[in-house]
Amino acid sequence: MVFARRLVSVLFALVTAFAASALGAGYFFADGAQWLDYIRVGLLAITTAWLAWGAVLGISGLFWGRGAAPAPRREVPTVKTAVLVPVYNEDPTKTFSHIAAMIDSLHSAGASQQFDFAVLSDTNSAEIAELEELWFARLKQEYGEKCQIFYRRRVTNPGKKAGNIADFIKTSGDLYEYMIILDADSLMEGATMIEMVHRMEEDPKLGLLQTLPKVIRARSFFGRAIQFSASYYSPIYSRGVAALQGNEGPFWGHNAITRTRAFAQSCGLPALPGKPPFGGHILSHDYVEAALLSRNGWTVRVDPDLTGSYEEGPDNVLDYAKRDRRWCQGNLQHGRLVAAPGLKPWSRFVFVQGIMAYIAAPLWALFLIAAIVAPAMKIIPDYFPQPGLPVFPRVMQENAVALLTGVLGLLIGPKLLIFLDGMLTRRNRTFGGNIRVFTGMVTEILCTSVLAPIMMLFQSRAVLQILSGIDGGWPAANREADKVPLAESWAASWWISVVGLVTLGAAWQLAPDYIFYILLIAGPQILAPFIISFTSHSSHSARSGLFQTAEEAAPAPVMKAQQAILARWRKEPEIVLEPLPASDVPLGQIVHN
Amino acid sequence: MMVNGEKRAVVRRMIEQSGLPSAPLMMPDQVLVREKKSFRLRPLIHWLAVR
Repeated sequence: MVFARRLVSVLFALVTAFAASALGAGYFFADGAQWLDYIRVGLLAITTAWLAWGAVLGISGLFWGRGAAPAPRREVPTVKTAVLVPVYNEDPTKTFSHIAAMIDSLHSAGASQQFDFAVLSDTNSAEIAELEELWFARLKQEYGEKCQIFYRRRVTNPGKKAGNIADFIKTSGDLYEYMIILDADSLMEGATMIEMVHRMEEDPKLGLLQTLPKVIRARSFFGRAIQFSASYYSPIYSRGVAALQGNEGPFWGHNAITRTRAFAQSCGLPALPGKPPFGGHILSHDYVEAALLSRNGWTVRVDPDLTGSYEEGPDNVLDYAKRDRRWCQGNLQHGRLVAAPGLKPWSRFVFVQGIMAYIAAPLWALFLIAAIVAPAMKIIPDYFPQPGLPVFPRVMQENAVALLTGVLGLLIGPKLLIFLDGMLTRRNRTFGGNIRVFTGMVTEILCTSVLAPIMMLFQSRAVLQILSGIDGGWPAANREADKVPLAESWAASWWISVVGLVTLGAAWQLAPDYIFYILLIAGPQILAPFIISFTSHSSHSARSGLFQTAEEAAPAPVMKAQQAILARWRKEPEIVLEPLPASDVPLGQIVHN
Repeated sequence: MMVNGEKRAVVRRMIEQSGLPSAPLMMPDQVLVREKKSFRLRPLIHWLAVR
């Protein structure tokens, strides 16, 4: 059944690409075929196939996995689970408030003794490391009786996050049947963690179970647009992913549970031969770990019905692009692993999808360049192939209209269908009602349409840098970013304005007939510094209800608890520590020896 | 946040007592890159060479 679904989905993308190429060829070749026209058709085919693939995931999600989620089980698990929180130069007050809230949530469910938390620090800033220790002491003092909490810091960080997890397994992995892998900004309900353990217990072949984390706590216009998009559309898209996953589902690096022995047996990642960006440590380790678990016969699965799983996202375009740069390098590095021995074909296809996610941007850019240059390269048609009346070449305007409509349909169609589905199922009520959702959807589509040409250039630059051998390193995530001042935005994106101006100038000279369409792309690029700065401002949208999400309308208990703890800690940052008796035995030994 | 020497010592001790418990599990490195195969026609060349 999974094979049939995969086949139909791939065929849909290929047929759509073929149809787009046929329409494009009809339009481009109408006044004589040039070599550049063949390139345009090829680029159109690849990029449309990619758009169609995205659309098919959304559409599949509307038809598959619609059943009501089973009620989470309340029985306390009998096995031990480690909850891993890798941190890297994060704000410890905030990170540890997340841990405290999760401990409270587990404690309320009576299961906190079955879950041990381990803060795995790779922090290399001495100042932040000192704060981490202080705040860990407070966390331990306030919550240490409810739950075991460990702290370990690596002075150097070989293997980065994957190496950090591997180091935990090589030190303490034998104690734990399962590991829940989180990020520093992850948040999970205790009930969700308990349910994840039960699902692992009932399927001994299940190696890794991924949840769909909802984005929360966005403040800026940009962040809230992304948050709305992730909260409203992503559950449907992830059902589409689940419909095609079979035993080779995704791992997104956090908010997932894994069977410790399966992970240890399968996921030791060696450094790749050569230097970064293509050699060295594997950056996007999660996709590789999922593929390796499947290679060893373990099931990897995403369960979109698992709720109570949250994360935070970048709040401005620059932080988004910075994260994208890292992901881009990691995904392009997978080019070396597509042919790794023994991988399941679907795992290889997932690698190709990850690469396409970034290669698509320069391909669109090339298509745009070709569209501007092509009219200037046209030879003057022969109006008198035979003596007598002139023969004018037929301009296939209807092809261009059909093509444009089709591309817009692939981009917007699934979102409209998800909205209609939300009306019929009354899901829209949890997002503030049909009108509020519709306004949010239209604004989000406008916002992403304006940002798409800017992101296209950020991603194209990232791909070019990586292909030129430039390593992006491992920058820390900026989860508490404030608004981006215009000066900072200008410094980071002036080159995008220049590219936009050059594009517009070239179109003016070479393809004046298309100047309106080119303006839709070059315009946002020219205004990029203003757009980046403007969209980073704290938005009034929260008060007006625009981009309202279900999590905002009714925050989960763990979200409220985390906010309360963080507010209390920030109000009273002084730690009152009780002196420890010298004879204290390390807590880890009390439990585990 | 102000931290005096005594407090720092207490924090240090809490950190030391909160280290990861020792229960190592093996995590062997996986094979990700195919070994480069030697020239496939080499046996044929050897066979021809001796004739």
